[in-house]
Amino acid sequence: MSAVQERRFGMLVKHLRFVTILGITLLFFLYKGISYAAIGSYVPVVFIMAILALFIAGFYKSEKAFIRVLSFWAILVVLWSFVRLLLGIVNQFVKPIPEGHVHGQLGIAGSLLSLAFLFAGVYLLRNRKKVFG
Amino acid sequence: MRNTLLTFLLVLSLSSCHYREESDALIVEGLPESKAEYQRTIVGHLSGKYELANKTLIKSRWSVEERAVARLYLKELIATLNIGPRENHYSSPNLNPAIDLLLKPFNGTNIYGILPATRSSEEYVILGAHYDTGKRNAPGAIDNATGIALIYSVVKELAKSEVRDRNLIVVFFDQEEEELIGSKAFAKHIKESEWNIHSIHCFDMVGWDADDDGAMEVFSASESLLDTYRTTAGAHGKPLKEIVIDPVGYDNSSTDFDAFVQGGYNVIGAGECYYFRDSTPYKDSPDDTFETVNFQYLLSCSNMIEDVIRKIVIL
Repeated sequence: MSAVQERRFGMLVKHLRFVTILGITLLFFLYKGISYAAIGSYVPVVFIMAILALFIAGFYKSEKAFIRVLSFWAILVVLWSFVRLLLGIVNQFVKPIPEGHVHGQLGIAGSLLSLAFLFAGVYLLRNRKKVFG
Repeated sequence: MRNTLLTFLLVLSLSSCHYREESDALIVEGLPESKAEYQRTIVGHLSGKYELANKTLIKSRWSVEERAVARLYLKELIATLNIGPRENHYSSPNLNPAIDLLLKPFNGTNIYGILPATRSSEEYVILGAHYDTGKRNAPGAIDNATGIALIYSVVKELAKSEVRDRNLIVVFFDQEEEELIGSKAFAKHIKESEWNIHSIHCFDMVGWDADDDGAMEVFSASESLLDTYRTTAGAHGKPLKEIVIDPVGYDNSSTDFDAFVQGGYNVIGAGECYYFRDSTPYKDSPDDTFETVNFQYLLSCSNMIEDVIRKIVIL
């Protein structure tokens, strides 16, 4: 690791809360990817690997590139949460989704999870520039 | 921000909580002795007409929680036949890979048991019916508590037989109404178990006969199975409406039967005349109730199927 990269790493470590939230969102999707890969579906694992590759590339390239990847990831997390919340609302109030499998994931626990990720996405988006500020 | 983090951790903890299956017995008193009566009781229990022993009602078998209670009931039902109930847990991806990013995989459990042959045999005959219901609040009396009651009566009678030349597997599939996820998982389980399958018989909806002709509908690609059903139906004076399917390029996904055609098994599906338009109009609705079931028809079909399976299992 070069001196510049070590400095970037040090800045990340300084913002422990930010890094923890970022780590949790990434780990969640990594877990999802591995779980799906184990049952023969590879889209989630390819997706998270691509995101991780972008983060690594951004980290080694420049601070600006890393912030750009951070923004991209935060927007994806917000979109993911938003779509799930929207589905939950449609399921509860507009047109119930016929499948029990989907319904089971859009209840209170599912909606809280989506909400937590929405907050996490917004937090990452709002604080992304502070890390290297 | 501290609050955000705390909320986040709280949510993660909540999401890791799973539904815990109740352990109270659901069938404490024996089922009635007469076939007609125990079929009524089983359909009544599964469709919320009758309370279970712990005072709960299975109003529907659609949600995760409802299916969990139904599973407990079915395990006890299999146990009443002196067969050890087994669980086939599975996890399957969503049908569209993009959905995998949004949602969890399908998780479910097929319940099955094996009535062994009395003589040494490597061959298995499978009787299957799904236990889930299609929509929220649908009691699923005809679809498919009747299929379960039919299989139960067939196995109960065959269990009394002193001689059985083939092993019999009774299986109740989960998530048929969700693109046959349960039966597809069981097809995979068959392969992994390396069972030598003689034939698979799937029953779906056996409780409606508006024109009172007593007819049953069967669909299969197997001429030998169709012939056995034809001959037996003739002996019972029961009209048999046949649909011969072509397994090459077969890609239907409407009933458990379809999952096994795709797997290349010797399979037959049977039930009321769904494709011949004498079938419950209440399918997948809150009106699919106990009161709409034609129990006389269910009994006559059960007697016929019992003879069919007897011919296959007792050589």
